[in-house]
Amino acid sequence: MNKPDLFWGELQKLFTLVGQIDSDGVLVRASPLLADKCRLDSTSTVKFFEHFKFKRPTLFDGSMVSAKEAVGELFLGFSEDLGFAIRGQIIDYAEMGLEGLCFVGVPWLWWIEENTVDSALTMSDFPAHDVQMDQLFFMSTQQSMVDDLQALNAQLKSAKQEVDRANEARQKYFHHVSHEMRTPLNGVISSLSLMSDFKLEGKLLEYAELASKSADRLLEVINFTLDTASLESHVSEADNSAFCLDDLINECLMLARPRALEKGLELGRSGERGFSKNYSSRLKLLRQVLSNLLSNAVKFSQSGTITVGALSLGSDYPQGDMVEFTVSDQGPGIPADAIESLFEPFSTGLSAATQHAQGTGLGLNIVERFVEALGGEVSVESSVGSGTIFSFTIPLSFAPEGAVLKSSSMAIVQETDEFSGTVLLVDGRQLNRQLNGKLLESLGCNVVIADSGEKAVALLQSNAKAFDLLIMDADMPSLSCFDAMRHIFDISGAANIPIFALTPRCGPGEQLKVEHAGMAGVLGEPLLADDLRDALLLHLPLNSRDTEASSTEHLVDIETADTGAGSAAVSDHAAMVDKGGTNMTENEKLLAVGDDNMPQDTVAFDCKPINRLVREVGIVVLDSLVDKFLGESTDRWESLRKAMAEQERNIIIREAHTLGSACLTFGLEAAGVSFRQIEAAALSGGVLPTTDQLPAISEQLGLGIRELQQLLSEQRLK
Amino acid sequence: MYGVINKSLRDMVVEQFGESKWQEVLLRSGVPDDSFLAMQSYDDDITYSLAQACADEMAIDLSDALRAFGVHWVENTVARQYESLLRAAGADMLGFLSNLNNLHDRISSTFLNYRPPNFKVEERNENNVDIFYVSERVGLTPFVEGLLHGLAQRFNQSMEILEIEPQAVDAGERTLFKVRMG
Repeated sequence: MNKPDLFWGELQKLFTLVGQIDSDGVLVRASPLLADKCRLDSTSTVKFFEHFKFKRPTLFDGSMVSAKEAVGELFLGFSEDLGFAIRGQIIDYAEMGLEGLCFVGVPWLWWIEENTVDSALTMSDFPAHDVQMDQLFFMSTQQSMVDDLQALNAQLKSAKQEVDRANEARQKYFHHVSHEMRTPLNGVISSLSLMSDFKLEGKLLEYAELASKSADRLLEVINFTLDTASLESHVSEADNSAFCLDDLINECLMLARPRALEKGLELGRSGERGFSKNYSSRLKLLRQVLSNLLSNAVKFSQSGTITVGALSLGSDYPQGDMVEFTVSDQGPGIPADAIESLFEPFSTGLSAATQHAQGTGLGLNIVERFVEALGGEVSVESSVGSGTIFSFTIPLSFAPEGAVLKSSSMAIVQETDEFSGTVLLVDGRQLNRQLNGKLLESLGCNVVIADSGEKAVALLQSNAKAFDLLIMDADMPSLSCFDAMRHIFDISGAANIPIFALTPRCGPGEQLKVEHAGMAGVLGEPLLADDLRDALLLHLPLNSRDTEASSTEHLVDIETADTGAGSAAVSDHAAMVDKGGTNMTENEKLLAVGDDNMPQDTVAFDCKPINRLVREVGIVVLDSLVDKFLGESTDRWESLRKAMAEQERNIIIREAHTLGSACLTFGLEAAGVSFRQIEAAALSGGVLPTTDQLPAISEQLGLGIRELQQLLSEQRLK
Repeated sequence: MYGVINKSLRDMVVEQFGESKWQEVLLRSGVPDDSFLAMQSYDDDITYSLAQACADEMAIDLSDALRAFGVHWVENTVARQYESLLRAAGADMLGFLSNLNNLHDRISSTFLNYRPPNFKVEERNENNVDIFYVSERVGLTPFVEGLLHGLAQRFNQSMEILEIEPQAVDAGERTLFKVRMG
């Protein structure tokens, strides 16, 4: 027995394909599987290296010499005719002192699987150590795994869409509920506020105060619900604004100052001042956190100093600074056992010393949520009898060079300052256009007016560069404010113009909604000069003007008009109204209905808006605007009455919106609130209001207008 | 056991009784979710709980449920996902069973938590065969019974199980299936 014979049997135990090749390349002996596949029998001559095409070794040319050179390398050969492929190695018999080569290997499973329909191979055709069958199983299972993951991914996508839909429905629900709750609640709060003008005593005073506090707390709870919902729905979205940290802190201190002064508290700053760089972050959240903490400190402190501080901790944060904020007070402190649950909703941490403050326990929960959204964590240190320090550290990115700062510097703004720039005012209500236009002019702005969203879009298309800022009624009937926004964003040069929505719904939810739509913010209705000034400060250049103290003197005159000469004017006006009774206009007749039935203690008119308007636009302009309102209101009232009788929802919404807005602008509070309630009821999509309530509103309106006219007469005399 | 087993059980219920029935099974089993991944190893208790819940939900014995699952495993899961392996492992039922240990050995080299059963085939005469099933798990003999029926169908062979004889072991389970092939 020669040496190949010695190993032949052993090789076939290890490999299912074994072939002895002579020096001419002829397959002279083969294992059963190889012999079968190569159709080797006693009559045939199989040139082994010509029988297969070899994919590997790369440089193998099919000759015996080349095969010897490739000893140790992987041979991959296939025969399309045979439907078979091999993988293995060459052994050189010369190393054993003999001639020829030996091929040892296994079927090349992947080629066979890929290129044959039925290989008829079985597991026994592969030796136990060969991994190809393992790979086959692995690949089959891997495919199953991929299928599983894809199915899981589809499930997750579907679940996410469902959650998003549910979230959207919840947002709509919150919006709807807030509208439904806040409108009547504002009526309650306004009424209670009006009641405070009367000299209430004893139990009546006690109940009124209790009702007022309860209503305030309820409003706080509603706002908390909206804040929470808004944060959850928008937490992942970018809402960064560039701001000056010094200005922000000053602004928050300024807001807290009136209440602090009332209580005799000192307000101050600690930490750094004069930050050299501006920052960029979610400004609204940061402002509310600082305001809530300051408001809490003021609410619970009876004496001492409250300080707000910011300190740059420098950094491991290359894009900006880690900044530590602290708000500290010298109030009664928080008991240790209350601190753990202090940030939970409805946890007040009240002690005997702070029970008087009656917080809802929601402000700190908002603080915690907002600080987390800003990337930090709020903590508190407190000692009963000594005071409390709230602190949090958040990353603040550096604002890009040249970024427009959003932080209001209201602390240093003077009413005598004047803006420069052109404002496009878009409002379907003529009265609002005139009044708000005058207000803008009084602040130094050039004003261009459009009475619809379509016209505003057309104006911007013709020359967007002409405008520096847009103010749009959020509830325009044809092209809505939000639809107009989409057109405006497509106009070259218009996309960067800041846009404010004018709306009676100006809570945090509405603010987030308009900002989400790409607008700069919300302006509440009726539009107040202070709010407008704050909004303009963020976007328009400010010029100082020399007022020669006229506005101050004017302010003083108006504030004193209720006394002295005012009383004579009241008499004159009363006489005029009596004398003109038979020649009253249709409007006056309408509004005078039910005078006799009006309860004597009902206050339908608040003089403060008129005093403010006289100061801001002057008595002449105001007179003409009020005349216009009275002239228009007859038709609008009739249109509303008819729409309510015929249950025409859209007309009810439009007319109630316009009448409500105008009434509140001129201080006709009771009627204004009633119109708002009608609008809200119609907007809610529920049962439409009926004409049953119109006589009561007519009474409110009639009384309010008489008082309005009386006050205007006094102002004219002045 | 690997997730592929639990998935197969789920597929069987869904295919035969619908998704809502599976959800009832899942609820009854106390298994929190059914997002099984084929290649992930899960606690055996999950599979046992699901199988028991299936039986309870269908108001049948657990052994009947496992038998049905054995058939489904071969006819659906293996045939769909491992067809090439099934082909490679044998041309008939006995050939397949003879190669099954070999296949399990290979799977064990990839799946380190794999604890496969062992099969031994002894031909007593031309038609009668003894099949020995040995597993470290307990209670799966009915599943193997269904599996044998499934394999016979897969290879178009007639087969009758004459006797199922539990055999004494220190741990796990050992069963002799006395089989007559047609």
